Amino acid sequence: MPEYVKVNYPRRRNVFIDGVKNGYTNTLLRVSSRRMTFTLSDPPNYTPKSITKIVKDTTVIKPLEIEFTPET
Amino acid sequence: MAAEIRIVAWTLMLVILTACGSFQRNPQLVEFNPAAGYRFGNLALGPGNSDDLFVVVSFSGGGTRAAAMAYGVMKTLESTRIQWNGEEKSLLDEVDMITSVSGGSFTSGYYALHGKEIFDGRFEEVFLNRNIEGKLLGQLLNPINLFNLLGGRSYSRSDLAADYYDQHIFNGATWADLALRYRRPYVMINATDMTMGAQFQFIQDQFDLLCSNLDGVHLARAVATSSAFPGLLSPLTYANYANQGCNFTDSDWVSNAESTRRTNAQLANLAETRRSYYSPDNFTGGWRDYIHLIDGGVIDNIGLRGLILALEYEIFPYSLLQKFNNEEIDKLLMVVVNGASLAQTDRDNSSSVPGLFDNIFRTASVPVDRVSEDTIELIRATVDQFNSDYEILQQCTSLIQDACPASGVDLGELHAVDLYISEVSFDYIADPERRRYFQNIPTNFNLSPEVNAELFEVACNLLTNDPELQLLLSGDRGFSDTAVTGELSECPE
Repeated sequence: MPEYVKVNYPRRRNVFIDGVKNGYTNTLLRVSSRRMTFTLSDPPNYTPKSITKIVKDTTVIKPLEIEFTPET
Repeated sequence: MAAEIRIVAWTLMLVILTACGSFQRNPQLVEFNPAAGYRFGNLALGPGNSDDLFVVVSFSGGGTRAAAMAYGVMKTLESTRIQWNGEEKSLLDEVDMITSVSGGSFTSGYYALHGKEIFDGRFEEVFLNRNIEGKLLGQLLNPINLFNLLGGRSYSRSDLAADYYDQHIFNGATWADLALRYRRPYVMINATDMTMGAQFQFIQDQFDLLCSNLDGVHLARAVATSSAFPGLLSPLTYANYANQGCNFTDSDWVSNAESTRRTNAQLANLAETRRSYYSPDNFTGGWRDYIHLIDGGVIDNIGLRGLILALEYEIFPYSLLQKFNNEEIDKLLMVVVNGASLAQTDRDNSSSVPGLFDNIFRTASVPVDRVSEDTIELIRATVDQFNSDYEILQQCTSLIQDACPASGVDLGELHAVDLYISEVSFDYIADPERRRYFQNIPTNFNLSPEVNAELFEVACNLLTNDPELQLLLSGDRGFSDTAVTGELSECPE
């Protein structure tokens, strides 16, 4: 059964999971249950540079939320 | 003098036997290159093919019966005209991926090699309507082949079959020769790794693990491997060059999987199987210098396993989940061609203990046939879950907007995908007598042209009467707000 993740960032960017393009920021992403590392597409003007989380026990209305913010 | 002649004769004989009796080696890959090779991401869209309508077809095992059903479905898809994004085309043009096991791999392999020329009658002539069993028996009795079989432990009955298929069906073609080498559909022929009990796919991503180049592998050998039914045919051997290295680096998920086994045991097992090919620390016997493969139907006789993984995981290069997330697919049609059957026999009319062959055959096939039912249910449950999640999100978003718009709660948007599963199976033949007739067509490589013609017809009728395909072609807008319209093929009488 799918898990759900929402990667938050003020602008629409590509989301990379373990280095592979896998959807967009601020939308719900369907993923499998496992440990994964999130990054955003270039330019690398966001922080933190990557976030690693174990995704499990999520639902479509209670996704795991990942927060990136613009680098100041 | 006579003794010397005998020694020379024996030496010559040994040289001949040793030279002949070896398997056809898969070539080494010197340098891992993800931008090259037969990978889903390296294939362009075919003519008339689009990403947003994504069609996947799976072909089961079941000898010529399954191959003929698969062929009948391909013909039906070709003659089904659709309109999509303002363009008229055949539904076959939209097929993006074909996954197959055993008998179904003859059809998928031939299509990969020849594309739509599969319909020119030659496939029927060289395979479907030919007594392949008789031909293989003739090959077995040929003295030269007997030399080969006796000459080395690495040359087997299946190698003999592969050589026959190579010469008479696939004309020596390798992956580098495929007509569909650089464009979709992506054809995945599946076998079983007999040591790990795991699926083994004939795609470059799998051959990377062996540091081997799929481009040099003969298509016939892959098809022979995919259909090497245990007992009747022997396993086929593939060389593993991983101990010589090719600068291959595996994906991050593989190294992470073991530490999260309790989160996802299936993923940990998939990772363990991958590592067994290239990491001696992860396999009890050390380096696996040779990999022994058998019929893909042993673990999955409907060829759906790869498709389920593609739906459940975003990690594979051919992942459908990844394409959903990237908003590339609006409509997904999965056509499951299940040519497996549970033939009835007169076994139970007698008190005699069933013979050894009957016993082995049933033991090898019954569990996987039962698992096949569960596999289809699993894929339906996965699709239902996708649909119900989407509906829940829509309903909750609507409730928040209606009842509490000031809350500012944003649940997020989920890319809408409409999923349709069409199953072509004898189980759906309404007339019981006719259903039993088809279910009792034997699993062999020797069906008459008349029986094959009946199989083409029944495959066409089953597909065109499938409610999910009818729904897709009715202009159903589903969640995605896009519609396909089309005219179903007319089936032969």
